[in-house]
Amino acid sequence: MTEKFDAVVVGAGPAGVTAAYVMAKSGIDVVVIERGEYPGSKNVIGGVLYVKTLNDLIPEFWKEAPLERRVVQHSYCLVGNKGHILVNHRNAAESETPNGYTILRAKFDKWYAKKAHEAGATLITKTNVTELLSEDGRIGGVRTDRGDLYANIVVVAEGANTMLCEKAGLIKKPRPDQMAVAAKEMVSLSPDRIQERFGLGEGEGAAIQYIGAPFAGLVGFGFLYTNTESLSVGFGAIISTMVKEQVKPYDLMERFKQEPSVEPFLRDGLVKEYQAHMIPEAGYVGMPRLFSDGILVVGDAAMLANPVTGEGADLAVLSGKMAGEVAVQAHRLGDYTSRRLASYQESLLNSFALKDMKKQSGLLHYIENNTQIMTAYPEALNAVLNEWFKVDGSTRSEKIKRIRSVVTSKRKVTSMLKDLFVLGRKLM
Amino acid sequence: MVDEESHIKVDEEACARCPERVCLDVCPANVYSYAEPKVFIAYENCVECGTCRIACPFVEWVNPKGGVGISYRYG
Repeated sequence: MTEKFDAVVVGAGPAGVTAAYVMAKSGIDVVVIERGEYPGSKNVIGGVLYVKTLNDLIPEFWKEAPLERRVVQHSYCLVGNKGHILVNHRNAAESETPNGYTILRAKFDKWYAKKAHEAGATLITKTNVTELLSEDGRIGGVRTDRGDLYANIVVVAEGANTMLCEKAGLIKKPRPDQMAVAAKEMVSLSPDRIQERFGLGEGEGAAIQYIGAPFAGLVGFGFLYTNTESLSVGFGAIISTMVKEQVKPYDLMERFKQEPSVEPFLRDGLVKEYQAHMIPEAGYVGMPRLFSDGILVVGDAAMLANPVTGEGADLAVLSGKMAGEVAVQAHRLGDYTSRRLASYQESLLNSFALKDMKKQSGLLHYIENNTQIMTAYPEALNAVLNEWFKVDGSTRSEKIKRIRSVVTSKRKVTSMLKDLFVLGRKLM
Repeated sequence: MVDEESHIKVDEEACARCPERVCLDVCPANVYSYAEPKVFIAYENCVECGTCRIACPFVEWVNPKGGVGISYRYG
């Protein structure tokens, strides 16, 4: 197979498919090459798709897309040594535009790729791109395990394993402190049970983020999401911290599932699938140059994930849309040089997503150097409430004395002030 | 579908000398096991997360060829 297209997209995940959709809609002859059996077969999400970016492209797509539950409840669970604090927020504005939906990738990605196909994109599956082809210093196509394809522009949406970008000299291989690995299970449970346990109506969903690792020294968090008839539960942490604590991803997930703050939700559920995937955590600082002559990089391959908000799929869509639009411009002008394609990275940097990631930059690094933060605050807050609610014959002032000594034993006051300063600045 | 050929290769000498063997800890799919002096690779278990490639400087990890390897039903 040796063919010429206007554009080649590597990877049929949400980033690649979005770029292909935008290009196909403008009449560009684009082919998407997916190495899996079908789009989504090698993808994993926590997770929630926040709808804004895709809604901008396909208005009210939720009316036809195969989505799980509409997330109306967002929660933080602060897990202490003896106890946990669950902070539930329920969004009562149900009649307004949805915020996010839980999704399952094998279902969603398949549907989404079909949309791109209907818009005119060619989809090739079961084909692995082994390298990018260079021609006179610019990218001119791809080599696959079934032949070469030539194109004026290649959009790389290869995901968290950035082999093509590394081979092309666009980025260095990520370090273990720049990537997280998450192990997850899909646990089936009847819709009625789910709705009862989480206090949800039909079609409504919940998303819980757990902070206060089962093990100290880890930088990561647990998660629990409701799908239509299953729960997605798992735990992810920065790889270097897992190596340091000598903890395995699967064991971490199993231990997390047994936590008193998790186990009751999963009771009587049946594990249907085990999944594991890496998540880029280098953030703004680690973001490489995302373009060169004849090439644009989107999605996880562009390090676009925000651990604070749990965004990833919507950023994939955002970057795919911007890349697609720049590619369309380049095609119209017959100019695929870096100078033309640079506007992609410019647009991305001006987006809400990257402005936030820029503000947060250094946050993960600070936490990796102060891993105590991940457990000290959940433990301190739990200790405070344990005391507060206990009726044991102590007076209020005796309790407050005990609370003060417990809290300062978890983290020094000077460190807490520093945390307040750093975290406050980066998150607010 | 499982490929006949492994997509993961290691440098046996490096493995024998390796002080840490992080591969044994970081892999979420138990692909790597060790029985002195060799590291054994059960590539058919691989979920293609790529963690080993990041954690170990010696492993040669590439995507399996198209159409084989992990295929999630739910994802």
